[in-house]
This record gives sequence, C-alpha cells and structure tokens, in this order.
Amino acid sequence: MLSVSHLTKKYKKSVANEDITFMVEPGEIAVLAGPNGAGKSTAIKCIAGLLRFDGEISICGYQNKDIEAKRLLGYIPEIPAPFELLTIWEHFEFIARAYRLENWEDKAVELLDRMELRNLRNKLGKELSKGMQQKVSICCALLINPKVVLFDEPFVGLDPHAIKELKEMIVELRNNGTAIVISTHMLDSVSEFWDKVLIMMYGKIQAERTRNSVEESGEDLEKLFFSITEGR
Amino acid sequence: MKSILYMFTRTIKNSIVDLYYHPLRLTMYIFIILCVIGGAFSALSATKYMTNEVLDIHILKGAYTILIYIISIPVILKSVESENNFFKMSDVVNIFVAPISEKKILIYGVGRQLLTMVLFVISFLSYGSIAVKLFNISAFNALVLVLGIILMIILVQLVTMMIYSVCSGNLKRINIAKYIIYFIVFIPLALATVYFFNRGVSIDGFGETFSLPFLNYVPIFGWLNGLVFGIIFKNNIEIIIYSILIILFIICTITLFKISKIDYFEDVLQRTQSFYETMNDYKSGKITDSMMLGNKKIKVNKIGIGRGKGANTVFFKHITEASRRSRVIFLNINTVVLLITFALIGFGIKATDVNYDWKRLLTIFLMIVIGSYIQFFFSTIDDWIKELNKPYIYLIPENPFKKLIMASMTSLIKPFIDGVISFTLAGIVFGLSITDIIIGMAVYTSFGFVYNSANILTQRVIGLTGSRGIMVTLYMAIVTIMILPGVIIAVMMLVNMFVSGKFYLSIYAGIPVSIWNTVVSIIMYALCRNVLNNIES
Repeated sequence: MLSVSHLTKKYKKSVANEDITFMVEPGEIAVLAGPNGAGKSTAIKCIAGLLRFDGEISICGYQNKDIEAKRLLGYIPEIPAPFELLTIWEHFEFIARAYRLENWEDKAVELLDRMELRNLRNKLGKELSKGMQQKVSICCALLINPKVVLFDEPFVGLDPHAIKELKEMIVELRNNGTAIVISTHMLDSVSEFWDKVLIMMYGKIQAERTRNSVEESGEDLEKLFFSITEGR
Repeated sequence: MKSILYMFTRTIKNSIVDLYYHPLRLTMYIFIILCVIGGAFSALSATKYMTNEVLDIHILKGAYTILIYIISIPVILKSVESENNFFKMSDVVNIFVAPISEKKILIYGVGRQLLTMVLFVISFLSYGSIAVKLFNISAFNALVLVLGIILMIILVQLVTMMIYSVCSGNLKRINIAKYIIYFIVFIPLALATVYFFNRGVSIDGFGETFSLPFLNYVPIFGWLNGLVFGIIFKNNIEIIIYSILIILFIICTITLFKISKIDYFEDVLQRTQSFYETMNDYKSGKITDSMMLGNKKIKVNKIGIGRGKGANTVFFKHITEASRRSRVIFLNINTVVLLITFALIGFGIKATDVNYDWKRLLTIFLMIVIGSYIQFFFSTIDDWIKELNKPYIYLIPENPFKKLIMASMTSLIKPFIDGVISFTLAGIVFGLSITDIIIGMAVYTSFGFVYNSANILTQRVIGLTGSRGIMVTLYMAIVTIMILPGVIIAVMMLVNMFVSGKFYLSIYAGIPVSIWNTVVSIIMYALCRNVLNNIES
C-alpha cells in the first residue's frame, strides 16, 4: 500500500507540489493525470525517494526512504537511463544482485519475451533505441516483484505491441495485489484499467475520482479534466 | 545564402545581447579582452626590458611547428570522418532541410568554425609578448606569428572543405584521404622525432630538429611555417616560394569545391546528433560513457557481472564496464598521459647540468606536482559520477554510505594503480630511490582521495541541478581548501630542510601531505555519507 500525506515539494522560487494527499491500496491503479508542468513527475520522484520533500510518504508501512521500502518499490522513470556499457541481460543481473534477489532468471526471461527483447539480450545499453531503453527500464523495475510500482509516462516511446503487453502487465500486477501509480497526460491510454484518478494542476490535486463514483454519477472524466486544466 | 547570413548575424547579435543577462560571462569576456590588449602592449614594449639571456630562435620555430600541427591535425582528421562539430542540431533540423545548396551550408559551417578558432587564437595573443621577451624578436615578428596561425586556421578550413568535396561520404575515398594525410603529416614528423632522439635529447636539439629544411616541404604545414619564418629571417626567396605555393593551394581548393558534387548530410547527421546529446549532458553536469567513447564500437566478449551482492554489485558493475572501455582495467588515457609526462620530466631534467641530488629531487618533485595536477583534470569523469544520472543508485535498497564507498571504489583504486605503475617505472628509468618512489606514490594516491571526496562534496552542495561552470569552480575551491594545510606543512618542512642544509631529505615533506590528504578525505566521505540517499542530498 502507498500512502502520501501532505506532500509538498518546493524549489528555490517555485512550489512544484503543494499539500498532496492520497492513498493507493494493494490491487489498485491510481492515475496522476494533468498537463505538462502540473507536478506529476515531481510527485512520482518524491514517492520514489529521489527528491527531498515535506510531508509523509509510506510504502507498505515503511517510510519511503527506508531500505525496506526501497526493496518493495519499482520505479519506471519518464526518461529511461540504461547503463551504456552493460548488456540488457546484465542490467537484470545488476538489479538482481543489488536487490539480493534469488532465482530471478526465469522471471527475467519471461520479461524479455513479453517485451520482445530476447534476441537483444546481449546488446549494450548504448546501442538501444529510446523505445528499447524504456522496455529495459520497465523490466528492471518489475524484476524485483515490487509491491508498489510507479510509472512515469510509461507508454511514451513504446511500440504498439509493447504498449499492449505493458497494459496487460499492469492489470496482472493489480490482480496480484500491487499498488500502482501511473503518471500520464493522456487519459485515453489508461482508460481501460484505472481505478482512481487524481487530476493535478499547478502542483495540487484538483480533483479525485474513483471508477465507481464516475460510473455511478455518469460524470464525463474528459470533460472534468479539461474543465480543470483549461478552466472551461 | 541571405537567410544563412541573416541567421548568422542574428545569432551573433543575440549572443551579445544575451551577455547583458549573464554578467559573469560578460566579465569573463572583458577579462579576456583586457588580457589580449595587455599582451599586445606588453609585446610592443617588451624589448625595453630585454635581458642578455635570449633563446635560440630555432627553438621558437620548433615550438611554432608543433603548435601548427596541434591546431590543424585534429580538425583535418575529423573532417575525413565527417566528425567536425561545426553544425548544431538546430542547423540539421532547420537548414539541412531548407532549399539551400549543400555547398553554401558547408561554407556557413566552416565559416563559423573559422571564426571560433580565430577568436580562440586571439585570446592567446598575450603569449606573443613571451615570444618577444624570450627570443628577442620584434613586435612586428610576433604579429607575423599570430597572423600565421590565423592563416593556418583558414587553410585548415579550406582543407576541410576540400576533404568534404572529395570524400563526400564515399568510404573508399575516405580511406585514401586518411592514408594520404597520414603520409603527408606523420612521416615527416616521425623522421624528425627519430633525428631528435639520435641527436641527443636537449632544448637546442629540439630547435635544430624542427628547423630541418625538409619539414618546410610538407604541404600547407611546412609551407606556412616556411612563409612565417621567411618573413622573420627576411628570406625573400622563401617568402616568394611559399606564398606562391599557398596561393596555388587556395585556388585549387576553391576550384575543386566549385566543380565538385557534394553530399555529406548523412555523415554529419549522426555525429551532430550524438554531439548534441553529449553537449546537453555536459552542460547539465552529467558525465556519461558515450561522452568519452563517442562512436567507438564496443566488443562484448564475456557476458555477465559475475560477482557482488547488495551495494558491492555497483563496484563489480564498474569493473565489467571498465573491461568494455579498455582491454586492461584501470589503465587508460590518464595512465598514458602520466607516463608521457613523467618521461618528459625525467628526460628534460636529465638534459640539464645540475648535480645528481638536485636532478633526483627536481625529478621526483616535478613528477609529484605535475602528476597530481594532471590527475585533477581526469578526476571529474569518475565512475560514481556517472551513476548519479541514473535512478538505480538511489533506489538500491542498501545503506547510502555503503553505496557511496562501493560506487567510488574504482576511483579510489585508480590513482593507486596509476601511482604504482608510473612512479615505479620512473624510479627504475631515472634512478630514483625506493623512498622517492613510495612517497611519490603515496602523495599521488592521496591526491586521488582528495579529488574524489571533493567531487562528492561538490555534488552534495550543488546536486545535479548545478551548471558545469559553477560545479568546476566550486570543485577547485574545495580541493584548494582541502589540500592547503598539508601543503603548508610540507612547505614549512622544506624551508626548514633547506635552511639547515638538509635539502636531500626534501622528499619527506611528502609524508605530511599524503597523511593530511587521506585524513581530510576520510572526514569528507563521512560528512557526505548520505549523498546517495536521494538526488538532492
């Protein structure tokens, strides 16, 4: 479970996130939606423990900067950053060793197959296209069997097959009880599987809806999104 | 062409206006201009302070030859591989697709590079005054030397255009061009080097070697040198011959350029793209492997990291990466530069006529000081810094201090290995004592620790958001503060030894330096133990 309480992130002159509070239960997919510059990526980075912040963030009961919390967290950055001189397979080996994983090879092979990377397993990071780098990044995050996964604009740069596969993986993760946060500015891309949506603007959560509440009220999510982001 | 000219002039104008908003950059430019003016005035008035100690002008000729080669060869060799970076990504996106002839675009690119290089050379004008003082030449001759360099830069740009015209992406022609250049440039240089060593290594020998007449016959490089020194020596025949040769070369190049069909976009595109990414990374303070390897093809022989658990996996990953970068782990360009520097110091001092004790002291002293200084420039590209650009090092569920130690382990081992190899070899070749070698290694290694910990502190203070300029300035300041106490103690010891006539014990002044450097580095590591807790730590 992921709990974010009163998260505020300030830079010298600007406030990137202001008093953000939300929870993501195990087996729930929460979508952070908003236009460019709304503060989605900053919030995700704070949750991943990459940035300093004010407030409380806990992952399965541990503070997000604790070693135990890190062990349970998978993070897929917006811009993939593979190691230029490691092969794809060595990326997995590195993650497995660094996270002290046991018997990870089968899972790694499965991820390779699903992302159509099997034939490229001995290719170096520097030789990969942007899309392939993104696939490697996804595989590395999922290899650790995380209990909480943060996806920052995960579909950008992926080919149609990988998008389809990733969507299936996300649903499988949910079914296995993983708490998932997806940041995106394209609501269409997550329309099939979202459970909770948090619409962000100017660093704040402006609206929060669950799938049930939207279905019950018949509210048009897209309209709500544009009414907030464009002031219509 | 009008549009290119418009863009070119607009860019210059906007860069000047932009200085208004960047006072630090403006101050730096003003400082450079003042240095140039100061240098010019100094050159004009230098003869007034002339002493009797004037160096042989042939040494100047030798140095000038080397300078010409250093400026020109990299540009020419890059042209053969279409690796010149005179196009920006914005040029590729906007100009390459515009209805403008490729020749005009090439002229624009080459012209911009020419301007940059000329401005760069002018910024070193103040060195002209040194030539005036050291070699007793007139201010006019100093000006001829500078104008010669500028002419050389223009000629190099013409060569570049010619290579682009002739090669035009054709692999066979590229290879032929390469061999021709190697033949023209390196064979005369190799012959000169052989002559230099056969004659006996000395400063006078250097001047004599690089004044050998056959070097003047080397196309462009030699002709230019012949023309410049023809003017300085007032040799009219040389002036006429080399002027004619250079003019003929210019005419031929322009004619060839006009009649040729060129197609270089594809070759330039990839290079520009990767250069653009590299520069973006560099400006934002990022260090990546691609930055150092460029387009070098990496052979993957053995797959797998093979060792490590938890934090120490980072160290073994670095070892795997190092084995891909170079065949011999830990030995790289830094080691080579260090060995060459030590050889130059050793042979240089050997050629002097001071007594044995002084030779030994000077050799080890200069090796320690210059070697540690060189290490400073290589220490900013350490493995652990590359980790900071990726999220993994922060996400790994291990103690941040452990991660820091393991991530910087290769950077701690590297100076030790370089020190052991370089000082041992230097000791054997130049007859240094075991004490000299051990203390030399210790001081050199301890400077490696300082640079490493100063790097860590710089990252802690500025983080990844800082600009490269600020980062380097802060890094230098931190290094200076860190090493100062050790250096002061060493200087005090040296003074004491010299006063008491025990100058032969001077090497022992290295002991407090190495101890202090190690202690202060350990303290710094401890203070920065949480730097890998998050990106902003």
